[in-house]
Amino acid sequence: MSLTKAPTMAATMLTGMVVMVFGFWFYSIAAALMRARCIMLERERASEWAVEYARGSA
Amino acid sequence: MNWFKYSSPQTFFPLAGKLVPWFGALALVACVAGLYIGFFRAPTDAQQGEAYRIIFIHVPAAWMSMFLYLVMAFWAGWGLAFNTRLSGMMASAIAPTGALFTFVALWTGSFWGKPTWGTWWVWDARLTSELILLFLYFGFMALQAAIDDPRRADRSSTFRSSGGTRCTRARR
Repeated sequence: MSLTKAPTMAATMLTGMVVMVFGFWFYSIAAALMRARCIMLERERASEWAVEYARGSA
Repeated sequence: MNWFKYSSPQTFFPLAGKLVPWFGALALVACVAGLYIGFFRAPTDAQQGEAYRIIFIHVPAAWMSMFLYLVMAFWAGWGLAFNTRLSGMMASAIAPTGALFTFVALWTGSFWGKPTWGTWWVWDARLTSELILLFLYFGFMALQAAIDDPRRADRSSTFRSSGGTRCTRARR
């Protein structure tokens, strides 16, 4: 993508798409972290910290 | 600061819990801003009129579907190489979100194709490879689910995701 040639797409269109990409990245990180927490609790359910957490939030 | 202390589930778990609401809020703000720009600020297209505006969802979703696959494969590979439990968990955590964006890209793409090309689907290289990417995500998740031992499941899925990475690179 050239910075000196004339834009092939209206600048606002590109801005809109870039902002949406950021939004999707933030969503993906939030979703992946939430899911990772569930996976951690599930896989490490025998460990002390997981048992403590389950007891604490019960 | 020693970042490696977060490589154990015990320490990463509370950190992840703190980060989730921040990223969720940022996501909401960015998506609202992006959709506002896309639907109210961007000009009407000379050829396609207003129908083109679906690109504000379709294109970012397609980018995410590809990047997330690479991130997923990275974590799976890291876990295999360094035998860290948490890396495999991250790969598993990313997979459904990646599959979701792939589906969104395909679905919004169909909605874009109908008014502009006159068809919901065509078996060209880009569309077909995105569909294959969806199947790769499903394969990754299915393979994970099929193997009872999580460590073995992670290792098997790593090989699937690394093979799929070559597909993704070829797409670009």
